[in-house]
Amino acid sequence: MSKKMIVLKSSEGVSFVVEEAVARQSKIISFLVEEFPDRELPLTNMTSEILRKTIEYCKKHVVEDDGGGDSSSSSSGDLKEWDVKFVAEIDQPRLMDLLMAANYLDIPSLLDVTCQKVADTIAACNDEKEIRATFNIENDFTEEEVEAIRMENQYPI
Amino acid sequence: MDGRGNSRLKIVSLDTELSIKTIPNELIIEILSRVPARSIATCRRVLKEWKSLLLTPAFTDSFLAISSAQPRILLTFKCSGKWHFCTAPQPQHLGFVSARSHPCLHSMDILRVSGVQEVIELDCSKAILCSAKDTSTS
Repeated sequence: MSKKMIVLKSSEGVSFVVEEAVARQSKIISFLVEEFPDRELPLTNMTSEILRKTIEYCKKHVVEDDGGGDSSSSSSGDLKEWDVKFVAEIDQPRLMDLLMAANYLDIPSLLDVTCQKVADTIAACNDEKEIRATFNIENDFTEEEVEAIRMENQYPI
Repeated sequence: MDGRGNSRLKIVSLDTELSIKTIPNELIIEILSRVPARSIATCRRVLKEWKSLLLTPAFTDSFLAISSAQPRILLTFKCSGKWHFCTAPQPQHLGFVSARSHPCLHSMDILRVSGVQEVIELDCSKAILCSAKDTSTS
């Protein structure tokens, strides 16, 4: 009955031993463990911190998806709530790292929640200046160009 | 709210400096597709790159697939400065007016839709976004 474990190695060379079912949330890892069984998988472009976060997410979701054992907290509403809290606790640079990790490892649900979090942050800004300040983006428009776009979008009354 | 003022002082991960500017365009599209329609006009003014991304067919398709409003405009045309729509029936959605709940092939002039503030043409008339004033508070 022992669960099959696999080893994921971060860019710093730190090994993470995880249940195969957990790691298989990633379509890429799922493919790799079939191709290369009994091998540790080096994830050279993922830091330990981000890999740990990604595994935390996958662990939570594998339990919920199985629905086994943990009957008290397995409704999809709870899981959504957990997702919201999970991304809310992450600062912005790390959120970008996690978004890239979700894309790289092909974990669609994690990509969705991280993209949604960034989108919500954009939507919470009052104007383009606030968006640039929030994401540390340097303006490459001139004042005139911004005004021209504003006029383009203006509803003709 | 967190870190808005001190975003420049933030310590980024050691090996890479990831920011919204360095992530690939397909992921920017994924993000912008999840932004509510009323914020899309603002996003066009953030960065030149975003402005052109918002005009790509990839964005339009992704936005229409993800948007909860599921707008279904069948035909649009501009006639002497006025936009006209033919739409499929759709539920009214506060804050997002693509046209009122009208049956198919029923053209209307959006000048009569009150509260429309901004109009954006996406991808060669494949879609148009109109952001409306939120009337729920008035």
